[in-house]
Amino acid sequence: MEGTSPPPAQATGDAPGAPPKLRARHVALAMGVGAIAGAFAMLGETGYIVPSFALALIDPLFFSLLTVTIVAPLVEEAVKPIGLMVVWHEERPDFSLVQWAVLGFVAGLGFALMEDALYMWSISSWGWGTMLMLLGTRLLFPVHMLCTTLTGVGYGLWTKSKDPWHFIFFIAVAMCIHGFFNFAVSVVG
Amino acid sequence: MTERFPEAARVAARFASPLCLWMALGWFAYPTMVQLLGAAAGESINFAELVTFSLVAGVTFVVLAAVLGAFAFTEAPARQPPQKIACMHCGAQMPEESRACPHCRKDIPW
Repeated sequence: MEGTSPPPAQATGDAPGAPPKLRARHVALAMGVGAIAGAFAMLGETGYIVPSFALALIDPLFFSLLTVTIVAPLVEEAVKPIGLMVVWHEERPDFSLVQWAVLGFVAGLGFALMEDALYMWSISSWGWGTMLMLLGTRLLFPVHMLCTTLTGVGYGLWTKSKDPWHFIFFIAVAMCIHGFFNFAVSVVG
Repeated sequence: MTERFPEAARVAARFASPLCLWMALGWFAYPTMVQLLGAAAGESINFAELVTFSLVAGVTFVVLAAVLGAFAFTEAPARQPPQKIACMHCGAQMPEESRACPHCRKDIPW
């Protein structure tokens, strides 16, 4: 973190001393990295199958519950805020907590849209009607946006307070919400 | 936890409240969507159990949205303005807790 050379104030487009504005490039970066993280998270979760293959053979139900309630929230919540970290490391903007929350929201949105697209693609043989129905069902629940908004607030608080425990607290809450939601949907759906 | 934590909790609640309302609407619509998806996939679903759970979840999220909304928009106690210090690199004034100078953007050692 230290030792890097952040760009001068002019490069950020803000007047010296003025509070920084949230610009399109910040939103695009957070959303784009969130979306890319969505694709990589799916790979990461698939990689988990290899070491736990024996469990899948012994108890497939427990294996799938473990994957969606523990592995998925840990992996996904950890990768979604990478875009926010890139913004911080590139420009060191003195954003307000609300601005960090907005960045978190769009990172979650990017992740959710990529995940939805991948799920739609995986059932593409079922036809457009079913694919759109699945998309509609998934868009009913803004769980990725909710969780990454919390993580964004935690990250913003970390940049201001210099205390990483703030970030750890908020990301842990996000992981718990995500895990509980996945558990509920798995059990009932 | 620093004195900024309550402010952060309020910001989080300000965003979480409408998202919880969105989630509640999602739970209310969930049985219908699952029924449509089940019909398309040719699978049978325990619909009564699904409706009960979705209604309970939907009402829970409505209550949660109301509680978070009330918390988010309650008047926060007045905070002292942050102390200002001079940047060691360019001399510009900045809040004491800054990790980087808002003027020259250089890191401030912790």
